[in-house]
Amino acid sequence: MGDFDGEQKELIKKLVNFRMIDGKRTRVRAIVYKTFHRLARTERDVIKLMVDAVDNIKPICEVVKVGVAGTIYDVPGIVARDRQQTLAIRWIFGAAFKRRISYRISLEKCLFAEILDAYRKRGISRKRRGNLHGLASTNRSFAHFRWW
Amino acid sequence: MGRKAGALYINPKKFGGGAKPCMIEMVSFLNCLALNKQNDDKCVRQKDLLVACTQAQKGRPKNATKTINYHLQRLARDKGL
Repeated sequence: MGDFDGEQKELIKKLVNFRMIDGKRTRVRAIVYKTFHRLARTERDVIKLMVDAVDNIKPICEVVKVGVAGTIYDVPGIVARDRQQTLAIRWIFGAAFKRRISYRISLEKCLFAEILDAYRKRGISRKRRGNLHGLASTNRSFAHFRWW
Repeated sequence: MGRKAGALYINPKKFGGGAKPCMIEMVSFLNCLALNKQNDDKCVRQKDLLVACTQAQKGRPKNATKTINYHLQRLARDKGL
């Protein structure tokens, strides 16, 4: 990881830490690096591909439930930069798990397929982002309830 | 209850300096999304404006006088606790 900048290092660390269960980091790191090896076969810069894929999944607006006068409204708000990245990684991993129909299919295959789909602006995680943006634009009339 | 401005009573909660940063940019982006059936490739300009606005807000410190901690400290000072 010598020639990466700070943000790229943080992204790889986040990728590893997100999927870690019971502190078994080595196991998850192996899965992530195997995915990177698969991505390297597509004749592209792996880190740039990964960053672009995450950027395509990052949501800009989200809805927050706000109670006003006994009624709960979905109020659209702007997503913070750190939370954008967190949500994007969470959705990519969630989509990869959804793709994994049986345990015969390895997780790195599913993760590889999902990252490529995200890079091409399609896939489950991209659809999820679209749904969130759709919900925000539907409830845009309640934007004046936002105080943050 | 309210501040008097001429013959009008103004509710300070409603018309105070409640900071809602990037409100106009966000609403314009959401309107663009609604018009283009959630296809944000056609809303690049609005998206860039919103991102630029959020980047500009990042450096600004939040108003400390509006936080509950500030008021708790103020009350504690007055009581001399």
